[in-house]
Amino acid sequence: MSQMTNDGGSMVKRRHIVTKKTAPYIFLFPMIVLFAVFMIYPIIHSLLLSFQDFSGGVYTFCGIQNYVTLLQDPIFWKSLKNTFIYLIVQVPVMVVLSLLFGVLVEQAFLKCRAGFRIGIFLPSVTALVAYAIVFKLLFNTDFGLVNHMLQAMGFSGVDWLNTVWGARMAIIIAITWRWTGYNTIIVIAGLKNIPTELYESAEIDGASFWQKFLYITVPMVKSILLFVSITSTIGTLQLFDESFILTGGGPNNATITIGHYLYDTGFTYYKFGYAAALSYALVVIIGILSIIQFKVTKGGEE
Amino acid sequence: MKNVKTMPKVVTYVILIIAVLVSLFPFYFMFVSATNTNADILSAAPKLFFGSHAVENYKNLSDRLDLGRVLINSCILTFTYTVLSIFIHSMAGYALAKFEFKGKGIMFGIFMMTMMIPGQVMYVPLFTLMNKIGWANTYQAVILPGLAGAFGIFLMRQNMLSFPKSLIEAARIDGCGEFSIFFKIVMPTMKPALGALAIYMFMSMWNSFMWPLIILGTKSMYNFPVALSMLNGVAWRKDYGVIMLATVFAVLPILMIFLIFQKQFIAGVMGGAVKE
Amino acid sequence: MQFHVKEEKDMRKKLLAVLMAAAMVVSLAACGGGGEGKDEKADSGSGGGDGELSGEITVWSWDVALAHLQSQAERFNEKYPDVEFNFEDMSVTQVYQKMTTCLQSGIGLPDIVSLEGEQMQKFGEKFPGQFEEFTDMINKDDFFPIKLAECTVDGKIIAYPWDSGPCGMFYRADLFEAADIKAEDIATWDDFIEAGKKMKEKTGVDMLCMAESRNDQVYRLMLMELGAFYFDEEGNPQVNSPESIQAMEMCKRLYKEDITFNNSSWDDMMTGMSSDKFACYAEAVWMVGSIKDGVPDQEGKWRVMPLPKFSENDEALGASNGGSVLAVPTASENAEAAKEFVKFCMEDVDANVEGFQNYGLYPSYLPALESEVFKEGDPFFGDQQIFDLFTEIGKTVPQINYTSNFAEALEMSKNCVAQVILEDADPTEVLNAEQKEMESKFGK
Repeated sequence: MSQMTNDGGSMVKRRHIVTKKTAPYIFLFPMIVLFAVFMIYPIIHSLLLSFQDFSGGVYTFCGIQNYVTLLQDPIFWKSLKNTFIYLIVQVPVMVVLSLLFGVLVEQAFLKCRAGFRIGIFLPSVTALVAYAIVFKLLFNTDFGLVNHMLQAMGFSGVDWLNTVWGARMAIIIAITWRWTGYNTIIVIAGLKNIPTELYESAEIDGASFWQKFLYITVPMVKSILLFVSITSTIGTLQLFDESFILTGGGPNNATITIGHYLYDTGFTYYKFGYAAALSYALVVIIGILSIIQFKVTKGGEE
Repeated sequence: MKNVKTMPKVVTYVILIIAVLVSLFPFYFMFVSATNTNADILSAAPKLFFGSHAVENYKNLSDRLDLGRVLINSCILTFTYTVLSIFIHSMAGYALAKFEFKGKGIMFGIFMMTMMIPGQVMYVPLFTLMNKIGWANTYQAVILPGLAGAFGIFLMRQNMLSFPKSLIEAARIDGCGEFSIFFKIVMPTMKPALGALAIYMFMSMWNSFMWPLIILGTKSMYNFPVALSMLNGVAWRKDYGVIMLATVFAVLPILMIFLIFQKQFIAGVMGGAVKE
Repeated sequence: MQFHVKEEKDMRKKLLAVLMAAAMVVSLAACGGGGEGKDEKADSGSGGGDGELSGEITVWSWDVALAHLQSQAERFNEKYPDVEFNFEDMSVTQVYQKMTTCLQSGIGLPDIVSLEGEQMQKFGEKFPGQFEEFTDMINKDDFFPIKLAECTVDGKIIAYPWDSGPCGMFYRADLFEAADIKAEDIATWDDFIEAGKKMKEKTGVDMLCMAESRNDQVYRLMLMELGAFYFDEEGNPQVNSPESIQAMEMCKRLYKEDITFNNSSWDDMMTGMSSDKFACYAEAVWMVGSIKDGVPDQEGKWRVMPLPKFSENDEALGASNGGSVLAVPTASENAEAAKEFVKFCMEDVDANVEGFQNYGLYPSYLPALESEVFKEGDPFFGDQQIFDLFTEIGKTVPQINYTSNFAEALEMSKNCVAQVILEDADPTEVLNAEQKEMESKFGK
C-alpha cells in the first residue's frame, strides 16, 4: 500500500475514530499512561516492600511481620490518635472559617475586595521557613506574642510548645492559619457560581442575611464545601511540615503525625519495609474514611 | 432602623480586617527579617521594623545561590506542570464525568485511592525507575510523577458533573466533533474550576521539595525550595536574615501570579449559565 | 449554536501547538539540565597503584565543612593537577535524604560525602560493603578514640574521623559573679544544684538550659560520664542500667529544683541565651562558634568548665556530641583519588589548623591539636585556654557503640526525658518500658 492512499484513508476515517464510544478512552489516554508508569508501578513496588525486611543491605521476605509489629507499635497508635485529633478539631473549624470569610468577602457593599481576597490568601504562599520561625516565636512561652496578649487580657500564659495540649493547639492554630485562605478562595469560586437572581428574589421575599445564608448559600456551595473537606482531610492525614518543623513531634510524641513517623521510619531509621507497611496502613485508614465520605457525597448529589 | 443596616457592614469590615492583619503578620515579618541580622531575628524582642542588613544579606545570598538560575528552573517546572495538568486532568475528568464506558467506576475508584497514598513511599521505586530510563536530573522526571496524581482529575470531574448533558447532545446533533465539544463548549464554562486547578497545581509544584531534591542532582537544576533548604545548612549555623531574603524572592513570583490570576479567575465566571 | 468543522480543525491546530510548545519546553529543559550534569565519570582514569591520580570527584557536604574541603582541594590540586572537583553544597538533611535513595538504588552516589559521626554506623550496618575501607590508611593512635569508634563497623574503619565534639559546661562568668558562685567550687552535680539555687535566688536566672521537653542531651551526656550509653559494647540496649537510672534521676532533680530553662528548639535556646535566661549550657566545643555568632555582645562573659561529675572520687570520663566524618562510597569510580584526598585533608596538620581557624572545625586529629593555636586563650572567653581543656576532655571520652539504631533510640530517649520530667513519671518505670520497647524494635 502506498503512503498516499493510507493517508487519504485515515483522513476520511478520522471522523469515525473519535466517536462517542472511543472519545472517553482518547481523553483518558495521556492520564492512563502517566498513571500506570509513575503511580501504579511504584505503588506495587512499595507494596511488595511492605512484606520485606531491610537489613544488612538486602531485602528479605518476612511475610506480614511488618504489619504485626505495626499493630504493637505504641508510636504508630499515638501518631494515629494525634492525626485524628487534628482532623476532628481542625477541619470543621477551617471549613466554617473559609465559608465565613468567603461570604463576607463577596458581600456586595465591600470596598477593596481584591485587597481582602489577597490578604486572606497570603498565608498559603508564605514560605514554610518564615511560617515556622514566626509561629515558634509567637508561641514562645517566655517572650512569645501570644502569651503577652493573653497576659494583657488577664489570663495566665500557656506553655505552648512544651505541654501536650499546648503543642497540639499550636499545631492546629498554625494549620488553620496557613490553609484557611486557600480554601476561602475555592469557596469564593463556588459562591460566584450562585445565580444572583436567587438572592434578589429572596430579598424581595424579605429574607434576612442569615436566612439567605442558610437556605441559599450553604446548599448551593455544598459540593464545594465537600470538596474542601475532602482535600483538607487528605491533607491532614498526610500532615508532615508542622509536626516536623514546629514541634518536632514532641513533647513525648504528643504531636507527631503519621506522615512524620513514616518519614522518620524510612528516611531516618532506614526501616524501609516497615515504612512501606506504615504507609499502607495509612492507605487503609484513608480508604475507610473515603468510603464514608463517598456515601455522604451520594447523599449530597441526590 | 439604620443600625440594623449598618451593623452587618461594620461587623464584616471588622472581621475581615482582623483576618487580613492576622494573615499578613508573618508575611510582614518575613520581609522585615530579610533586612535584619540573625541575632536581631532570634532575640527575645525580634525587630519588627526594616533594618539595614538587606544589602549584606543579599551579598551572602548571591555568594551561595545563583538566584536567576533558580528562578528560571522554578518557572520552567511550574509552568510546564500547570499547563500540562490543565489539559491532561480536565480531559480525563471530562471523560469520567460525561461518558459511560466499561470500567469507569473501577477506574475512578483506583484514581481516588492513589490520592491517599503518601508520596514518601514511592520515592525509591520512582528514583530507580528514573535512573533506568536515563531521566535522573531532568525536568521531566520532576514533572511527570506529579501529573500522575489524581487530584486534578477529581477536581475537574466534580465540576464537570453539573455540566448539562443536553448541551453536549445538542452539539453532537449539530455535527460537532468530540474534541470540539470539549474545547469549545465545556472548557469555557470551566474557568473557575480551571482557575482553582491552576492555582493548586502552580502552588504544589512551586513549593515542591522532597521529590525534586531526590531526583535533581546538580545545583544548576535546583528549584526554590531545594535551593532554600540548602541555605539551612546545619541547625547551629543558620542565618535567618539570608534565608528570609531568599524566601522573599521565592514568594514574590507566586504572589504576582496570584494577583494576575485572581482577576481572570473572578471574571471568567460562567457558572450560573450552565446550571441545569 | 452552530459549530463548523473548520473551527474544530483550528481548535485542533491550536491544541497541537500548545502541546508541542509544552513538549519543547520539557525537552529543551532536559537538554539544558543534562548538559549541566554531564556524564560525570566520562574519563575515569583513576590511576590505581602508584600512578598519577586523576578523575572527577563529586563531594557532598554542608556549609563550612564544604567550604573547608573546597579550599583544601586547591592545595590538593597543586600536587595532583589532574583531579577535578565538583562540590555540591547541601544541608545536613538534604545529604541524608539523597543518600537514602541513592544507597538503596546504588545510583547517583557522590565520591565523597560528609556524615554525622553518630550516624555512620547506621550507614555502615544498613549498607554493608557500600563504603570504602580505610583500615590500612589510618594510624589509630592519631585520633580521639571516640571518633574511631564512630567510624568502625564490624572491625573495619569505613570513614575518616573529622571534627569532634567533646563537651564541657559553658557558663556565664558575669552571672556567676553576680550570684557569688565560684566555678572551681562546682565539682559534682550536687554542687551544681546548690549553686543553681543560689543563682536563681540572687539573679532570677535559671542555672541550666536543658530542653527537657525536646532533647535528652543532659541525660545522654551524664550517661557518657558514667561510662554507659543507650547500648552496651555489643550493641544491646541497656537503658535501664543503674547508671541510666541514676542519670535520669539527676535530670529530674535538676528540674524539680526549678533551676532549668526549658527550650523547645535550637532557635528557642539562642533566643534564651541572648536574653540572659540561663547561665549554663552543656554542649560540645563547636558551640564556641555558635555563641560568638549568636550573641556577639556577650563577649568576655563566657567561660568553660568540665561537666560536673556524679561523685568527687569518680574517674572523670568525657562526653561528646556531634562532629562529622568523611566517607567514600564504593560506587565511586575514582575511589583511589577520593580516598587520597580525604586522607590529605584529615591528616594534614596545616589543613586541620586552617579548618579550625577559618571555619571553627575542631579536629579529632591529635597531632593537629598539639599546634600552638589550640593552646592560645580566646578573648571571647576572657582569654581562657578553652581549646586545651576540650582536648583533654576529648581524650577521655569512652568508645561508644552507636549501632545502626542510634537515630531511633535517640527519639525514644527524648520522649523518656519528657515523660519523666513533664509528666512526672517514675524514672525506673519509664526506662524499663523503654528497654522493653527497644528490645522488641531492635531485635536484640
